[in-house]
Amino acid sequence: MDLIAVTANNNQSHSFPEEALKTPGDTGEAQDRNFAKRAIEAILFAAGAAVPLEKLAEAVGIDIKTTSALCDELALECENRGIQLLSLGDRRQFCTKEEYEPYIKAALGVRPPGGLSQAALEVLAIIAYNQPTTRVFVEQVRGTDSSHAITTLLERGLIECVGKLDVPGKPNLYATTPEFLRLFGLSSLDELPAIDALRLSDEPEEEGGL
Amino acid sequence: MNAHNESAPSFKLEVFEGPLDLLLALIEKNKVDIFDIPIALILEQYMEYLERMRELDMEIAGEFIVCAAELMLIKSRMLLPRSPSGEEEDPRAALSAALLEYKRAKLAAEKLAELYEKHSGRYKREPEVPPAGELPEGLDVSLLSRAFRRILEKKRELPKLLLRSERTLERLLSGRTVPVGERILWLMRKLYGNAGTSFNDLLYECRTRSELVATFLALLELLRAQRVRLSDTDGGIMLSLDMAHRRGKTSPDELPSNLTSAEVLVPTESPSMPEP
Repeated sequence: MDLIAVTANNNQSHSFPEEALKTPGDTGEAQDRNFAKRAIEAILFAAGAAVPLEKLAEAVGIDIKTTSALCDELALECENRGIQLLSLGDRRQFCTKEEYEPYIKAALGVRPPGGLSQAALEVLAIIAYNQPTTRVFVEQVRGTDSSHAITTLLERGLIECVGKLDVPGKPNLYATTPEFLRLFGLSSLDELPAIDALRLSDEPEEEGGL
Repeated sequence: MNAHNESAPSFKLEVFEGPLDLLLALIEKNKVDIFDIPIALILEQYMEYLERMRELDMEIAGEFIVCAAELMLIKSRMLLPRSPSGEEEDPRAALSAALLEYKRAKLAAEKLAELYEKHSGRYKREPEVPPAGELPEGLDVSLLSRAFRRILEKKRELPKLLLRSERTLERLLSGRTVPVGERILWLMRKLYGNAGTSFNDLLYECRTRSELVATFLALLELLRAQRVRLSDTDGGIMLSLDMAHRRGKTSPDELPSNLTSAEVLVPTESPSMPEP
């Protein structure tokens, strides 16, 4: 991608004709492109939370592919900054870099989010690797009641209810959130670490386990 | 067998997440194969652990007992002569599979804990303007008033005796009226440091009608001042402090600053009861 556009002036306001952004050849289009990037930056800053690429593209009036490319450029630009642009599945989010946590705490007296209990981590792991899944499945794997841990994870925004399973009782289906990806340093669920114990058994399992 | 003998006296009473957790620990301690568990040995140690728990007056969760019964069943099946064809399933197979599955979950949890340790220092900003379109639908104040009515109705269903004693108590307290300001402080203290409190629990805690009404009004005030947030979860309406609207340090002793003092202090007499 054309990084020269980054240095271009952007003090005129533009609208973004869809075609103008596709070929960043001449200066005017490069400025359009740069302006779109700054607009995305502004949206992400104001949002705080993770914003879907689709929404960004829609707001700025460009296609998703270009939006994604512009976000990648923004992420690169963050290299020398205290903040980073995270890619969380199909969402993007600004947040601070991990290494500056102590300074943020010192300055703002932020209360640490607190660790997660062993039970909460186990439940989160089972949901992360089997999502979407139900409380009953989680409890079957752990062999013990897990409702409290599920409530905690819901409150912390690490999991959410994404629907109901179509069986009698209509149990809730839980899946992880973009917040989960952010706090666990993943950019998509594909990056969940492989579990070596998987390899211990070669026999195929009926239930399709972890 | 020697593993059992030397470990028994020094058995530390760890707390386990559940029976599977305990079994995995025993299997690890005895260094036995998860697919070839010496059931008799493991069962013996398992029961020993439960016995220790009982001695220490710890509450033994039901699933520990259920699992013990299952282990005994497997043990007895192991004693039965196997059919000559030898094709029937190992009675321990289901247990091994369950243990393996749980072991994976534990390993995954460990990896997640490492990731969390490394990355949880990423702070995000709170949005400048709460996204209006993303609030759960149908969450408005009428939901609260309906819930309030439900609570009143439930209270009415209480046994007569209880109601009578409640009235007596109220009379004994010479009809003390509860100021809304007091309940605001109470509510904020309660929510401070508490991730979430259910609306129902909150009102069930109130002992008198005056307290009930004052609590409800206090909640409405806090909602208006955007100090408290409602969310809709499985268990009903949850309340939590709205951290986005903290001004500097919000201590539980601090009143919402956009309430005028009059609003807080005026309601000294019990507000009239809205009849449901």
